Amino acid sequence: MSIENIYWLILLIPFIGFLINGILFSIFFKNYSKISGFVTVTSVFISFVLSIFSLINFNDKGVQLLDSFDWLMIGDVGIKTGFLIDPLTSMMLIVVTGVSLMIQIYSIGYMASDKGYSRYFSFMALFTFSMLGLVLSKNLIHLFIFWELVGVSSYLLIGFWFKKNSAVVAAKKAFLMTRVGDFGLMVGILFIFSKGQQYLDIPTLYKGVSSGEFQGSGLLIMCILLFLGAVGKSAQFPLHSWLPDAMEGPTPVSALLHSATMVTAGVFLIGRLFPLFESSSEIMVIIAIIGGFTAVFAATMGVVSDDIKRVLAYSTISQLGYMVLALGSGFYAAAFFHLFTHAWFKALLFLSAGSVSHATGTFNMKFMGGLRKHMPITYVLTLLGALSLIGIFPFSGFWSKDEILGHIYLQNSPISMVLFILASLGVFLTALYMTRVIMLTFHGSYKGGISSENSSNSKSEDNDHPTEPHESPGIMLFPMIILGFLSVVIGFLVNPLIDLGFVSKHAFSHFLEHNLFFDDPKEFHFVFEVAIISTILAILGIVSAILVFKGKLNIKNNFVYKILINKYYFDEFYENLIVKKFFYNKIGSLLSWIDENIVDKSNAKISDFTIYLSKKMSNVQNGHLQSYGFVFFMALTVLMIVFFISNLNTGDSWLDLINKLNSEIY
Amino acid sequence: MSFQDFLIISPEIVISFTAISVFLLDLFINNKKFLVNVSIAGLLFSFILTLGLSNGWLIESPGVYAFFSSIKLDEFSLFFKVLIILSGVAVIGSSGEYISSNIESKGEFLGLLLLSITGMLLLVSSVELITVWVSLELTAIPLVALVALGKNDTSLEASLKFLILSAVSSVVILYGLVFLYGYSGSTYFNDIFSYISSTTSSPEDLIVLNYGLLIGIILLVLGISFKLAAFPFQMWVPDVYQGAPTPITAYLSVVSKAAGFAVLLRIIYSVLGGNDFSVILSNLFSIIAVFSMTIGNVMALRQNDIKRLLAYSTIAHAGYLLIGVASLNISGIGENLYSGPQGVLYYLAGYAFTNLTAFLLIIGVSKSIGTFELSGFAGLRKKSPLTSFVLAVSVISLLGIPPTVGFMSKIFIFSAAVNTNLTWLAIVGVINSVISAYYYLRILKIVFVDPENNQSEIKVSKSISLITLIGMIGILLLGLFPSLILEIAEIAVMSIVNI
Repeated sequence: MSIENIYWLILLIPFIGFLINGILFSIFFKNYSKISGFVTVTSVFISFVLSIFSLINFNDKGVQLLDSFDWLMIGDVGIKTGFLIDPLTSMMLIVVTGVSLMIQIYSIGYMASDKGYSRYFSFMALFTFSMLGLVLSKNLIHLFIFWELVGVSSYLLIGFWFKKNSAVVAAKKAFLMTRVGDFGLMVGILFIFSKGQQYLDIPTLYKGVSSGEFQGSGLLIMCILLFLGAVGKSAQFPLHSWLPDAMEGPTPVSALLHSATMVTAGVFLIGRLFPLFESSSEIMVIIAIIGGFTAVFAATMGVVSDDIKRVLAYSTISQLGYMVLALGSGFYAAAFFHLFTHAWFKALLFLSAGSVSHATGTFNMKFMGGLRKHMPITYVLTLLGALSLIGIFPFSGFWSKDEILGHIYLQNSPISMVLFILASLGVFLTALYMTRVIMLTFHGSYKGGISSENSSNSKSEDNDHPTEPHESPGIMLFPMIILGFLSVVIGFLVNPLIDLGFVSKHAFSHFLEHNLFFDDPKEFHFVFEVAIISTILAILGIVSAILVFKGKLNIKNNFVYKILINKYYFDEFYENLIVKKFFYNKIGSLLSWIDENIVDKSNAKISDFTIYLSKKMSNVQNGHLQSYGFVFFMALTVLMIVFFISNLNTGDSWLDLINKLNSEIY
Repeated sequence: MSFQDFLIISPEIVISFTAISVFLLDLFINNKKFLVNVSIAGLLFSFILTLGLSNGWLIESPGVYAFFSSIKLDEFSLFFKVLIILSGVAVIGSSGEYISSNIESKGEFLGLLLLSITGMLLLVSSVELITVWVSLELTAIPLVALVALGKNDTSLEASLKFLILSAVSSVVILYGLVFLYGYSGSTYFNDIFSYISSTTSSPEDLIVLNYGLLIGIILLVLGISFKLAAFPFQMWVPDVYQGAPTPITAYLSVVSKAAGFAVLLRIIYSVLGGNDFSVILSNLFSIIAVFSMTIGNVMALRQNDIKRLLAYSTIAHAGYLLIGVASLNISGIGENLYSGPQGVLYYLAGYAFTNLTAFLLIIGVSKSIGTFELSGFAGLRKKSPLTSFVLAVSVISLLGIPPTVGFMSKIFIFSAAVNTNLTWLAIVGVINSVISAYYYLRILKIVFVDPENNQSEIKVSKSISLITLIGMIGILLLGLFPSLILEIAEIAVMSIVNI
């Protein structure tokens, strides 16, 4: 079997799984729907094994550009289907198939009693297919197609419980909000296209960049537009507010799409087009600042949320901020190292949250507590994930986060100092909110779970839970244990400080630099003083969280707490200030109108401005023939005048022209 | 006139004879299903003849003139003939059940529709001003009667509006043609073209000629905007689409629009060719495109009647198509991967699949639920999963999400715009498609999420199911393998360019 076929198989096997589940088990053999979980797990497992093969093969052969067949060819120009296999792709293949595999196994237990069982697994397989297509794409059109498909599958999965109105609203919000980003990406791609259609091919684009084809202010605009796509997909400020709402979907979906893989697509995009971004220093600063700001901003909101999944969602936004910050500062390898480690431990944390809610029936941490005694395995695993996320030695998060912090520290410029302080603050906050989660959920005494919660049915995923919390079944624990093991060791194992024999020093970082655009190998350092600083900050965060939990510190009536619990009044800002103030006073511009439409929480209400505009238009569209004719002839006259004036040659006067026309006619 | 002339218009002859036979048979035959079969047989026969013409079985090769050079059979007209005939088959094939229960004058319905199709076929191949105008009338007059065949108040009102506004548009077009003739001295496209490109005698003459032609072109384009359902002649669209029998709505939204674009492209590329007009034309079409898209999408946001909603959506799509028309790049055709007109042809083909699928499904479903209100579609997912799936695919294609043909169409149109330095127009187009997501998603939400509010059983007739399934396959197939159409489209465009 040739190498190329392996990649085709990696891509298509999940798709076949999607077809089998979507057609056979959802429509025809509904009674056998239990098989569909097995189908998806098997297909993802095959893809995972093949991805490992391809990684081994990559180590032998290096970067490969595979063109399969002509797709849109006229003459000898056009687009070919093909794969771009570089270290980034190889790594993403492992992350996507690996995390997906763990989560599908978990889902078999988690979704067991759900009516839409095979629908769920067919969507999950569709998502895996789309994500694999995204990372394998060799040209920007294919990349964009899969980018949209990823968005569609996310939409389907967030709205999976479509009987729940909040889920449908959240799905729509996520879809429309990321489409604002997609719009940027699309126009950005069109900009690249306008430089020449050969640049749609990514390797050719790299060559074009290095030969200086892309320069000047056009480059900046192009990069800003492309970055907008990444901002939307990776939920960076200011397009972040869809991600916490997206937690309305089933928990395994949150684990796979909204923490480990889909939301990293934005980071992946920056990495894929890294030479382009790198050639404009302005955009790099913008990227770094947005990333650094998001890292802290999202973490602060995580500190006060009471919903365990929302805390994790804010944490994801914050960690993605770190990756974006690292890319903006030029640390390609560090960013993707963090993406790699983050995928495993964040998936673990989400699965733990799912396991906890499986036991208690709620996601609200106020009604949990004391679960340590009831579900010890989940407790230990959550603790491992949390320590890794906080970045405690020697867990995997420690290595990747410190790589980012250390490089920024070494950069030694005024901006990088600010960014370093932001990033360190983020470390403190991360420790604070994660410790809070652990304390509220597992320590203290049990608060009764779902039965204590007032609005019982509206928020629960699963109604027939026992009153006494219990440990989750083995099929759910098994993937969690694997992920827990990886969370502990994978950071050091793949990118060690010293030569381990079977893994060389900084193996992962060096591996990532074997791509098409880095010529000279870089030095990688481990900065000892940064490690000390961040560990101290993390411990400070943990200690203060414990103090608050034990009642030693009172923050409830604090001014800062109020701002944070209201998410910086961000949604209020969107709704009250922009929507009401601007539109009731009729100074809304078209832009904020779009903004309003997309951010507006209630999908039934279209903005007052649109209704106003629509009504004005309807006045003309009144069913009267006269007004139809009137509009037509007005438009005709106006266009005629406009074109005459704009095409009047200098020196022609109207009188001359009319005389000439007259003489011609008679 | 030789025998070959008649061979060249044999598809038209076959269809018009079928139309007449249907009128006559209607008097004697009570089984009206038979009439549908006769019509389809006629259309298919004419389809085979069209294939014969394109493959050289009947004539040596495309690119020949007939009837004193007033009709030209080239790849371009063949492309549109195939599109029109197949859309006609889809419309008639799926409306058998509809007309048996909703239409009194069944024979007239079929016969008039066939006559209108004949007009469309002539229209796309005419290369002479008077032939263009006569064919335009032949397409429009049967449609006036067809719109009225619903025989209820809204249908009659719609028909009256259609009659008067169509007459206004014809007059404006005629006035435009008069200007073209008056300032060039010929009604033949080729003569006008060579006259314009050879007039270099004195700059003064050229100015006068230019202004005269400018008036003609603006009149012509705005008149044709009636056919395209584009600004500024878009206002009849919702009323007529709502009032007309739904098969006729489907026909109007697909075939009539396609024929309008065919005429427009032929006049631009054959008559005005590589002259100084490209900038003016490009500006004119850009303005119309922006208005059409924006009006269509903004007005669609508030609609609760599915036919009205799709009517506004067709206006918006006319706007997207006009982006492709505005992307004039006459010298670049044949060298560039995505030229504007090529994108337009691909778009029209994909749009035919998409919109016919959507409208035909609406015929089927609304017959069962007895309403065109959007809320009536609630819970469709439960009642008929397959129908809602096919409907979802067509809506997704209208919205422009991969892997459907709607997505690729937008890609080609927008990249053609970028290629011709109309990036701003492409951006307006992309913003518009973001806005349109709102109302298309609303349809999907109602179909898939909302609880059902009536107990009516959904029964979609077999012919509609079959044709819409083919439509869905087409949507996906053309979306995945655009080259199927793109290459034909390029040859077609090459055949009309006068340089």
